[in-house]
Amino acid sequence: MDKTLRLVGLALLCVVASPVYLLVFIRKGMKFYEGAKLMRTGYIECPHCGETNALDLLATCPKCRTTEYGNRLRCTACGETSCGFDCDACGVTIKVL
Amino acid sequence: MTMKTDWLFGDPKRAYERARRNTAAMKAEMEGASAMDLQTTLAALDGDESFLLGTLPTGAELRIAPREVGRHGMVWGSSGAGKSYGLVVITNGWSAGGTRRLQLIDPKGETYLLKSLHVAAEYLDRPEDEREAFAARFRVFDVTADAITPFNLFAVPKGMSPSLLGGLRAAATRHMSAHDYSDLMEYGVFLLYSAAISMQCGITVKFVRAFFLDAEFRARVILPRIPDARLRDSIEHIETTLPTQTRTAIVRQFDILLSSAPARISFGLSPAMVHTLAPLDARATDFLGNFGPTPQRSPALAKAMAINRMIDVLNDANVREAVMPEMVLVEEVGVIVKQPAVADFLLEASRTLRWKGISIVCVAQDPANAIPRETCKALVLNSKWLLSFECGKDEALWLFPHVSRSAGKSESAQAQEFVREMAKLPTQHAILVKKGVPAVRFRTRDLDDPTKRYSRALLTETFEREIARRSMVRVKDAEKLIATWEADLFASYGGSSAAAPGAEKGPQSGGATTRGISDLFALLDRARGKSEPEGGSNG
Repeated sequence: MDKTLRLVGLALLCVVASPVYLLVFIRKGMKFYEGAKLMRTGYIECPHCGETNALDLLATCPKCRTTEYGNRLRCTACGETSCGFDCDACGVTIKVL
Repeated sequence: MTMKTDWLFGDPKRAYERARRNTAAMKAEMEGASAMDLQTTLAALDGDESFLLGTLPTGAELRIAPREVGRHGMVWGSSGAGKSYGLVVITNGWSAGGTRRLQLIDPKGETYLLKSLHVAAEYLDRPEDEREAFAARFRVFDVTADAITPFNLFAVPKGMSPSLLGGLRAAATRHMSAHDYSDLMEYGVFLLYSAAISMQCGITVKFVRAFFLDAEFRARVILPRIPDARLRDSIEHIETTLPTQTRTAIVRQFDILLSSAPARISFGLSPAMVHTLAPLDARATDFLGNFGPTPQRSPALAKAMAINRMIDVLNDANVREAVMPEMVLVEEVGVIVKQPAVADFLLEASRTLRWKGISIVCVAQDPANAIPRETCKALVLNSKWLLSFECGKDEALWLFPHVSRSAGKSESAQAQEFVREMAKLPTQHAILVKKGVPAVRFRTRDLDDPTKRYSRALLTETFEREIARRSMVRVKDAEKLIATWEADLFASYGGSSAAAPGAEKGPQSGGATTRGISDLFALLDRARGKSEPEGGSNG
C-alpha cells in the first residue's frame, strides 16, 4: 500500500514538475544553441569597448599551458573548457557560454 | 561528452584553420600598427637641432631634439650596461648649441671622466684661437692633490631664506658622518650654519669649538654680527637647548669632518673669499661636477659635496628670474636623496622649476631599491621621458605599459617576456619612453674614442691644466686665506680661542667643569675655602 502510494506520489510530482524541467531544458538548449552558433560565427564583440575578438586563435590553456591553434575556450590536450576570456583590446572579461 | 563539446565548439579542424588565419591577420595588423607606432614616436622625438641618439633595430636613425631631452627624465640600468656612454651622447647633443646650460653632478665620477676625455679631445681638435672661448664654457668641480674648486656653502642666493639654506646644508652634513646624528646634533649644526650664513663667513674647527663651547665668544663675536633677532636668541640660549654632551659631540664630529684639506677649504671659505679666489666666468654653460672617490677626500665628503652642489644648482634656478634651458643631470640619485629633506627639496624642484627651463634627469643603477619608494614613485611620475638599459623586474614593469603589444599572447605572458628581455639587454641597447607615445628600442650610437687620437695622459693633463684649473684654486692659497681670517677673528676676540670641551661656563655645566679627580679635589677645596670664612663669620 505504502509502495503504491509512494509511486503515485512520485508520478504526481513528476507531472507537476515537468513544465519546470521543460522550461529549464528549453532555456539550456537555447543557450547551447546560441553558444554553438557563436562558435561557428567565430567572432564576438566586446560588450565594453566594442572590439571584435576572434574566438579561434593561437591560445595557451590556463590549466595545462598547452599552446595551440584552435578555439580559445577549449583545450584539446586536457579537455578544459572555459566560459569566457579577456577582451584583447580592453581586458574586460567576456562571458561567452 | 566529447560529442557534445564537439557540437558546441564546432569542428576542431575548422577551428584550427580559422585560428591560423586569425593569428596571421592579427600579427600583420600589429606589425602595421607597431610600424605606425614607431613612426609616431620618431616624429614626436625629432625636432629642431635634433641630434643622433642611436640606431633602431631596422638600422634607421633615432634622432632626438633638445626640446625633448630638456624635460624631466630618468635613466637607469645596471653597471656596464652603457648608461655613461648614453649620457655622454645626450649631454653632448644638449650642449652642442652652446646656449643651453648643463649641470652634471656625478657622485660616481665615471660619466665625468668620460665627458672630460671628450671635452679635452674637442679642445685639442680646435684651432689655437678658438680654444680659450671653448675652455671658458666649462666650470669644473673637482679636487686634486694641490687644487680644489671652492664651494660657496654660505652664500645665500638672492631671495632665499637663510634658514632654509642652513637646514639643507645641515641635512647634507649628516651624510658626511659615519655615526648616527641625533635631532639635537642636527639642530646644533643648523644653528652653526645659520650663524655662518648670517655672518657671511666660513667655519673652521677652531670656530666650531668656540661657537659651541665658549659662551664669551658667542656673546662677543657671534651675536653682535647676527642681524636676525630670532637666530640671535637661539644662539644666545644654545646652552639651554643643547646639552653639553651634544655640543661636544658636534665639535668632535667637525674635528673629524674637517680633517682633510678639501673639507677645510670647502667649509672654511667665506662667500667673499670664494669670489676673490675663483670668480665665476659668465661664459660658463657646462658645469661638470666630479664627486667621485679621490685620494684627497673621503667618499662621505664627496657625497655631501654632491648634495651641496645639487642644492646650489636648484637654489640658483629657484631665485633667478630669467628662463633658461638647463639640464641638471644627477648621477647616482639614490645617494643624493637618502636624506628626506634633500629628497623633498629635489621633488619640490622637479614640480616647480619646469617653467624656469630646468629639467632634472635622475640616473640610478637600480632605482627601485636605491631610492626610497615614495621618492622613486614621484620621480618616475614627474619624468616625461625614461631611458632604460639592462635592468631588473621592477624597472622593466614601469616601462611595460608604454611598450607595444604583440599578437596572440596574454598580457601577463608578454609582461614576463618583456621582463626577461630587459634583464638580458645587450650593452648599449636601451628602451626609450617618451610618455604619450609608444616606447622605442634602440642602440646608443658609438662615441668616437678620443684615446685613439690622443694619448689618455695627454687628454687628462689637457683637461686638468686648460679647463679644470680655470675653476680651481690652489690648496695652499685657500688655506692661507682661511688661516688669516681665523687669526684676525680670534685676535679681535682676544679670549681663549682653544676652548676645550667642557671648558665653558653655563647652566648645563654649572661653572668650571672637572676634567679629572685632581680637578675635582681642587674644586672641592676652593668651595670649602669659600664657605669656611662665610661659616666663620656666621659662627
